[in-house]
Amino acid sequence: MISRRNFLGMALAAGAAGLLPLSARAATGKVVVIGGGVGGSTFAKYIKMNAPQIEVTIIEQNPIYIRPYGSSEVLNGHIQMSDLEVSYDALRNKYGVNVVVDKAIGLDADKRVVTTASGAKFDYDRLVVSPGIELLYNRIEGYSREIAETKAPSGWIPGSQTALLRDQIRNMRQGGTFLIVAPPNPYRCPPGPDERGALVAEWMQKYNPTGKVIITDPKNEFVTGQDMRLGWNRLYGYNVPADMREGMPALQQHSEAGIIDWIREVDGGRPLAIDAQKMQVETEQGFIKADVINVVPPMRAGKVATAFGLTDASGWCPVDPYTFESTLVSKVHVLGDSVSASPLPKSGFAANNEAKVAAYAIINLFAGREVEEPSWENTCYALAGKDYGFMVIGVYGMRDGKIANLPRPGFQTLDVSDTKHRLAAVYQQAWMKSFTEDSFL
Amino acid sequence: MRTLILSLLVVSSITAHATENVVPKSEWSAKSLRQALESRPTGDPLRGKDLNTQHMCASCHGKEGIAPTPNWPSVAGQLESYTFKMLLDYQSGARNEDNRANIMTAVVDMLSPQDMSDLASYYASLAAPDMSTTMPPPALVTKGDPQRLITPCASCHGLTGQGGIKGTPAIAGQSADTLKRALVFYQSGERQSDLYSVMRQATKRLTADEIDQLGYYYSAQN
Amino acid sequence: MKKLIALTAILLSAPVISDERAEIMANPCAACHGTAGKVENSAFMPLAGIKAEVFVKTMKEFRTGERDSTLMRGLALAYTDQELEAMGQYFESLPKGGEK
Repeated sequence: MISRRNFLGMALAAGAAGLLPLSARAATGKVVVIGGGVGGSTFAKYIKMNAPQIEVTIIEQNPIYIRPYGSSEVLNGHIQMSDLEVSYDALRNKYGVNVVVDKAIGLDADKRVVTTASGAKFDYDRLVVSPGIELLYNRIEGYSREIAETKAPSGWIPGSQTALLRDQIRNMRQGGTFLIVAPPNPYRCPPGPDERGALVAEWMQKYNPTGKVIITDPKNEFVTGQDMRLGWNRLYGYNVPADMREGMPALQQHSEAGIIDWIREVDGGRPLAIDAQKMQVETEQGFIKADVINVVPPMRAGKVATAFGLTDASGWCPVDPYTFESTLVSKVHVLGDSVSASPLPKSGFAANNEAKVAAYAIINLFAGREVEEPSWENTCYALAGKDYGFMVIGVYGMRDGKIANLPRPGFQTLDVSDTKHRLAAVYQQAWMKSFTEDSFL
Repeated sequence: MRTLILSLLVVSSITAHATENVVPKSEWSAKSLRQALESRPTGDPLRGKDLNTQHMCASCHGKEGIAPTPNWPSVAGQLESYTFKMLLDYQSGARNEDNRANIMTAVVDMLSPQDMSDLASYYASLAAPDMSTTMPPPALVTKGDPQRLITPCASCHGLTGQGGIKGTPAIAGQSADTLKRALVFYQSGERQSDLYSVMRQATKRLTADEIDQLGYYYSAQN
Repeated sequence: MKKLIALTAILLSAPVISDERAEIMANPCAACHGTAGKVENSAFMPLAGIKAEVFVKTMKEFRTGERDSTLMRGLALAYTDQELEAMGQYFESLPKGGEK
């Protein structure tokens, strides 16, 4: 537990309630957490670190966590599937969190009870729901969960589909095409689909040099777009479209098509239908045949959020930014990808950070104290190649009652030196480890 | 029977001793190290100064070679040959004792021997940091410990940590953390870049308290 | 009590950053620099026990670019001097781990 002296040296009278350290004025209560991902686990850990007397139970379907962040590195053989696994042992044994492997199926928001598939009932003072995403396979004609598990994997929730995709890429014929169907906004991990394309392109340069990577997109831009396209231009023979060159540093002009191509919405990239039998995707500009098809379908808040009435018409969960309490169901908080908290992105980093804000807020709520003003960051390292990294950096605070992206005048990551790209790739690996430790261990 | 056992023990101890002196391929030998240092191109300190900025060395090691935080070592005033050897060690992977080494390997991968020599000569031209202790040197520094086969630190690194004897580095004025880290990694054998295991040998039987003390003695205590 | 202190602070033109607020601002750092500032065997440096003045000086140098960085400048730019001070005090208060 963090040692909590009064480190700002402010004189306190006994009972100066608002200024006492977090752990004082014993806040007690019972919190149930649905979802043992980044959001749920970080939340549980940080509650226990600061107020161990609060009872915390995580209800999680899977006995171990398989991390989605960095899972694309399985596809290029950089890591194994087992490297994605994270145990709940530390949460249980080090922090005293009750981790129950079960599925939450019912909520009585008035009585404040959650019911699970095994028939158990969990009552709570506060409920935290952090269920990640639900992939809407059926929203694209010809696509389904069954097809995703057997023929045209998604792998946007990692697991057997990730392994299948890896095998399909490895077994692709020489000169074959790997096609990624990118999702519409909003979706988990904004640079993800394009980073995946880059990593597979890098692998293919070595193992399938006559092959091709195509990303077909219902969007005209994505987060880290400029950095990513610059990387593609430097590494994979990609030519940046003429209308996207403004503000870019000097670009290489490639006379031939590169190993990676990105078809944006304006060029007809919007996917219309998947044909897993013929192995082709119909887009607005025509049919694309491919040897391996990776579909990232539209998505929305995790199923349990929808089932428990936490989502609005958008399919995502509106919350109070000070506490992440749902604006639809009282005493229920939502964290992570499921949340509608723009400009906070749908990233693991954001989920971790939201969890900490919510943890501190709930401790204060239990103690009958005012909730403190929140603060967030989002720093993600993305890769265009094993040695070529760049960053997404955001700092957020409350401005006029809304979450605002705080200005950082003059800062940009485009066209940094080769050394910085190398270092960013080193830090990306370091971050995988330290981030996982901070969230789960 | 007893003679047989004794002679077997003698034989095995001779064999063990002999294998300790055989240097595995991946480690330096006096010959390979001498050759590497002799073939080092002449370094240009002005060019090295530019490289120090360009390759972000300055970010961790300082514009003037003094590390901005105690987490990283200073390089100012370091023996030119030693810095060059360190960079070679990172480039070859001979130094890969922890994840911090990954940073060095990634950057040094981009450097030519000329670049490395330029950086080494730039750092050598800078004023070395001082150790700031007023405490008398611990016995291990001046006398070592013959019982534990520990040579006195001063016999190579000097009483004031200036190094330079037998090609050893200057160690004065580093943060206690970085000095201790070096000793701990040599002790565990995770750091294997020292010629003929001289540092691994010297640290093998040090206690944790002694490591703290030695680190503190030579440090800048920041 | 909190309101009284805040009012006094406004009169003294020094907006108060509470301990908790400083910690909330510092919490995102843990994702790289470790929970409670402790991270082992990492390219990132641990922050537990770092002297507040070293923290502030370093963040200011990142902010201006005086000390080059990959992403630290992008974070340092978002915080005021006073916020950095408060975060520095917080990190200094954290017990150091025994790490390599």
